[in-house]
Parts: sequence; C-alpha cells; structure tokens
Amino acid sequence: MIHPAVWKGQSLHQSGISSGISSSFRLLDRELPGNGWPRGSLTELLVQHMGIGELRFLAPTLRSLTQAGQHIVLLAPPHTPYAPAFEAMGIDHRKILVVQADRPIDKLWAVEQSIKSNQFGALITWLDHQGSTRPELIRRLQLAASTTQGLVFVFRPFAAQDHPSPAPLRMLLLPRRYPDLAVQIIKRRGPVMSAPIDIAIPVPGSGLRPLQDHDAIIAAPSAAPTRQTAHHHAVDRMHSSPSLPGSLSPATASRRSPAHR
Amino acid sequence: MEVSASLRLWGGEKRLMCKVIHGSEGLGWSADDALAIASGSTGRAAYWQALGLQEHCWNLPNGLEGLPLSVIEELHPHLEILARMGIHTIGQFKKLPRHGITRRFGASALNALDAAEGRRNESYAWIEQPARFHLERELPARAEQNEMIERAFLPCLHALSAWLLARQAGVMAIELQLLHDGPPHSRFELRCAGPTRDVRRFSRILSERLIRFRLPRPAYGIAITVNEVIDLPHRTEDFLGNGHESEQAMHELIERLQARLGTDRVCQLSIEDEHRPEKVVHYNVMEPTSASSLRRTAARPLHDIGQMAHRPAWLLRQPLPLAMQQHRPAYHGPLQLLCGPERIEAGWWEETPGSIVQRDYFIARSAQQSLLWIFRTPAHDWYLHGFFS
Repeated sequence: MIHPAVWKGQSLHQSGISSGISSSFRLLDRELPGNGWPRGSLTELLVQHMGIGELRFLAPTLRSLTQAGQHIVLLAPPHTPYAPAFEAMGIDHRKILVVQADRPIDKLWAVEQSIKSNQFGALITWLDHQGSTRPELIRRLQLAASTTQGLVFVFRPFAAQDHPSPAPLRMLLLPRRYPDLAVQIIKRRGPVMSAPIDIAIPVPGSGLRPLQDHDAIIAAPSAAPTRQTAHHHAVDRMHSSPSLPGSLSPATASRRSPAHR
Repeated sequence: MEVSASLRLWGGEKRLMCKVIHGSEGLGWSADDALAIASGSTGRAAYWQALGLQEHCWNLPNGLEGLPLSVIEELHPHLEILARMGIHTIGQFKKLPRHGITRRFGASALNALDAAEGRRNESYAWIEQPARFHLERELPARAEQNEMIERAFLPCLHALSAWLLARQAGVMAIELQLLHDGPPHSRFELRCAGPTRDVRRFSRILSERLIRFRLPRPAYGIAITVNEVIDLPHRTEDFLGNGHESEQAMHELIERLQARLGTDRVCQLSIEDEHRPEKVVHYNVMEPTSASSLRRTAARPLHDIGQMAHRPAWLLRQPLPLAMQQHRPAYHGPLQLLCGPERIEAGWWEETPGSIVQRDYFIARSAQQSLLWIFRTPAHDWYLHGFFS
C-alpha cells in the first residue's frame, strides 16, 4: 500500500481527498491530477497576450460553478469585466464579485481573506504585470489556497515560466491555429507532458456574417459609412426594437451563440 | 435581577451567578454577587452580605433576623420610635404582634416585612432600553496608540451587542468618535454588509479600520453612537447547518474587504439596457442596503443573448487609439478583421458633449492570435475597445 500523499513519478497523482472539478475538456481532464481542476491549490495560467481565449477556456467551469449557486471572485482584473459577455458564456453576472486592489500586499491580503471565508467557487486573480511578484507571495497564496474548497487561478505572463513557482499546477496557454487554444502543462503532480493539448473553444461572433470584402472596408472608407447608415435605418424600421444595430440583422436567423453549444 | 423563572435554563443559581459576574467583567464593571429570595430591601440585605458585613445566610428567611431595620426602606420614618422601643433588628421587629404593627405603623410596614422575607409575590417594572444607543467612556489614560483605543472600544461593543439583543435588532453602521482635548473630535464609521449584532464581526471590522487610521492627537475618551437599527429577529438554527450561514459569511467577507480596501473597491456587476458599450456595465458598490442578499435582482430580459456573444469579456476603460500599419489598424502588428461592421450609433438624446457615439465595431485578430474588439469612428480613426479573452 502506498500512502495517499505519495505517488509514483510516472503516473498522475490521484489524491483521494478532493477530486477535481472537471474543466469540461475531456482531453485536458485526462492530463490533470484528480481528473479536473484541483480544489484547494493554486493553478497558474501563463498567458502572453490577452485575448487568445483564456476566459473562454475557463468559462465552462465557471458556468457550472455559478449554476450551482457559487460565487466567483475576480480580484484585481486588468480591465472592466463586461457583464453581457459573461452572460453570453452562461456565467451569471450577479454571482461575480469584483475586488480592486492595487498593491501586491493588498491583493495577497484580499486573496487570503476570501480563501479564509471559503465562500467562493472560484477565485481568479491577475499578478505580475510589471514582473514584480516575489516567489514568497506565490508561496503564501499557495499556503492559503490549500485550506479552501474552491478553485484558485492566477494569471501570469509568460516570463514567469522561467522562475520557479510553488504552485502545484502550472500551464501555458498558447495560441494555436485559429481559433483553437493549446494548453501545455509545464508542472503537475505526474510525468512531464511532452506535447500541448489542442482545445477547441467557442469563438465569439461565430454567428456573424464573416467579412468578405476585408480590404474594401479599409481601403474605401468614404463610401462605407453612408451606405451602412442607410441600411441601418431601414432595418430599424422593420424591427420595432431599437436595440439591434442594423448591420448585424441579416445574420440573426442563423446565429448560434457559443453558450448554447 | 429576578431569576427564579430561569434558574433551570441556566443550570442553577451558582452557574448563573458565574455567568453574570463574567459578563459584567466583560463590560468593564466589577461585580459582587449576592442572591436573595426577594428583591427590594432584601436585595440590599443580600448586598450587605456580599460586602462581608454579614455571615453567609443564603435565602433563608431567618437569615434576615440579624440585619438592622434600616435595610427595609419603608420603615425608615419609624426607625426612631422603634429604636426608642429597643427594637433594632428585623428579628426583634418580627416578634412584635402583627395587628399591633398594622395599627401603629400602617399596613405598608407589614407588607414591606413580608416582601423582604419573600412571603409576598413582588412585581417589577421591566427595564426599558433607551431608544437610541449612545455611550461615552473616558479612557483610564490618554490613548496615543490605536491598540489602546481598540481595547477601550471592545466593552462598548459588547454593551451595544447586548442592547441590540434586547431590542432584537441589528445595525449596519456604527459611528465611533474619539474625543480629543479640543474639537474637532475624530470620528469614523464602521459599516457592515448586513444587519448584525455580532461582537466578533464588529471587532474585526474595527481592527481593519484602525489599521488604516492615524491618530491625530491623543484621545481622552471614546463615544459610540447608533442612529439606526434594523429588526433582526433570532433565527432558528438550521439542523443541517447549510442555510443562511454562507450568505452571512459572504457578507462578512465583503465588509472585511471594504474595511481595508475602501468601500468602492468591492463591487458587483450590473447590466443596463444601453447600446453604448461603455455604459452597459455598471459597478455596483456593495452598499449595505443592497447587499442584503448579494442583490437578487430579477433577471431582466436582456438583448438577444446571441448578440451578447460577440461582446468582449474585457472592456477597456478608455478606448485605445490604434496606429495604422500597411493601411491597417495595428496592435502588436497589423490586425486582420474577422467580422463586422456592427454599427452602434446612440447617445444623440443626451445633452452632454461626447455622449454621442457613432462607431463601426469589428472583431479583429492580431498577429498573436488575440481576438480584439475594435471600432472605427466616422473620422476613420481606429480604436481598441476590448479583448475577447
């Protein structure tokens, strides 16, 4: 018999105490110790450029958490979280708590307080945009996280991969052939992962009419707006609701939102 | 205190006594305990006993016999006559014939005697709590450090909690004042995310608040005022223990975060029916009033959910002007437009300049495969407005 805290290097650590929360990507779950996002430990997600789909990647997990009535804490988000987009991903925006903290010490304190109260399903924080995060800070976060039942995600830039980190799970999110995302796990309780996993994430605007005359819009600026405006007014009269800008409506019928997939 | 009806609840007189003494020490009073079968004058007798003037004579009618007559207040006008009769103690007085006492001193004298011995049922006026809570304490020494102030406030908070419990109420805000030698006195407020009367919660917020507080001058006293209370009836504990506790804990978390980071730094998102993207999302500061249940607003029918799907998850607070490269807007390299345009033209009904928005939005992909939300103004300037994370 092997003690549950001990695992062999070539196999994934299957901790019996707390199994993970499924990421809803089957291929990824298979590679994660505990078959999902680990509870009570820090997960580092290293992203170089914002906008490659890092939140759409977490969206299925967050959706299931909010549907279960749990809160999501966004700690020091880099920009304004745009609530309608979260709704479109199926995440109940009323369950999102946004906490602004500027100084690293305040961030750390807020994370610790949130973790102590153990009242969230997931806590997401952004660190290190100036590259100033000290390893002790991550260490303290990991210690605090070990007492919670929720998921704790930390977004950091790529540069952080060169520095050792106490987080038990670290992964790189890489842009792959559009629109996919590749996930490379660089640290886990288990064997080294050789190749990144490709993950298909929902694409925004997939129901929209794709742009055919891409160059025309940029090259011929003077004609486009007037034509668009006229079109827009005509459609607005047809729809009694004023909310939809006209140029979108031709695609409305065939539109499928990523949330409903 | 009349305790005879609740002795069993508290597990006997000795235990109750310990509790009372312990509690009053917590409030900063020192207590001497005594127990008697009746209050009023006997209560005072019991007090004599407690001071050590009398030997132990717990609740026996006979125990009163050695006490001087002066402990019975109603006999005070007659003390002189009685003294001339050679009667000084209650025991001697009791030996007098009862009808004689009535004839000589009136029925009230006998009634008082009976009451003192617990032979009559006594009725008491209920203690009425004042309608507004205000407490002022002088500090034992001039306070120059926050720790001293924090320690001084604790008994006041206990008193406040007891006052609230008696009224079955809770508070959202407590006003604290530090009294200095001359005005202005410094004042600050403790705000809770939900009505409460829990001392631990008060003191946690207080200590977070005091970390940020700098004492301008030494303080000689403190004051604590509550202007508004909210009914907070006792709730029956849930057998399975999973009812309102998590909500309570969430409130506690919010108020702790607010106490340190500032009230406006902890927010909830809300959606307005608006076309202009920057006006759609509002930060709702977690106000005590709105936090009553982390705001359960009814889900309003929003615009078509399909439309929201091509809105970015992150919106820049200020649109970022984009440079042009090779006749294309560029953000870390030229951008490739994927779909659009989506015309958003709104705000003409508002008077303020700059509120009119006329933009064509596109979804664009950068060389790093990021999806961006960019728009073009009628003047053909390109701006970055969001990231599809």
